[in-house]
Amino acid sequence: MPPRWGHVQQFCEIQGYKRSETDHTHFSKPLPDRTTPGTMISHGKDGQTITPSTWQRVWKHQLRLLSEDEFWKGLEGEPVRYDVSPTLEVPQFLPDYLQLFLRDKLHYDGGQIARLSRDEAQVLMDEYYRREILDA
Amino acid sequence: MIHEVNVTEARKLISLLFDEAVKGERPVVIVRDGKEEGLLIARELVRRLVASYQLHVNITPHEDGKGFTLWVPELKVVADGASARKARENLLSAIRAYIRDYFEQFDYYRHFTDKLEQQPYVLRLSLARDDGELLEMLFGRKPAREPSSAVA
Repeated sequence: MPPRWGHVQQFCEIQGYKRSETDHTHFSKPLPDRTTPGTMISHGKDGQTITPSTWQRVWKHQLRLLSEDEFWKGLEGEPVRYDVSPTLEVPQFLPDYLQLFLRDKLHYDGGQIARLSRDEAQVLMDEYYRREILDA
Repeated sequence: MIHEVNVTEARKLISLLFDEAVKGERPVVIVRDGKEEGLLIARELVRRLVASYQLHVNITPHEDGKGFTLWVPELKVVADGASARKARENLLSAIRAYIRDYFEQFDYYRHFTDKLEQQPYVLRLSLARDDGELLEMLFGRKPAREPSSAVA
């Protein structure tokens, strides 16, 4: 279940993240591999639930936790494990939302979907919705 | 070689040096105490130099079919909104905050490889003059509308 932004702020405070302020609150954590995962929270959003697609970006790509469970452990004050291993190119299966998009919006058949990489599918989705974002 | 002047000389010649750097697009190095080196350079030249640092926005619609999550992988910035317009506004706000924090905290961030890799992207976005340019840097040029019907 995705947490609220207030949980993310709590997690960062408990885990000793460096804090800085603009019109957002920024958190960053120095890791031994000389990188600094971090996130930012818009003021006044503490009580808002994070949408599932945003939550995936937060725990995995911004905080770079090894798994989602690490977040909940960290929130309890336990030490957490970060994904600091070198990035390996592994085949990535298309998540459900991309498969549904290809099938329902672009009318791809199973064979066409199977031949696409995740990056290729994401590009198709970005292009499809770009106009809607820009015209809104 | 590039034109070098010391700070004292630069103070006296600033107007000429400005012309040289901006109108002539010939950068000028300004040196202080023989050690610290700065560069006077045309804004447009920098914009061209960092133009190849293309940004991308991954767009994921929410399950309710109305809202969107927007993700900029180069900066690891995420924003979402309950409508396309709100998502776009939130992304611009998040990007502006990210750039401001990046510059304000740079004495700290400069020690981290992932932050240094972001520097040309942050510089490029910071040179946007308004939201329109910022959007174009993020999403690319707005696609032209297809004609709705043939004109007789």
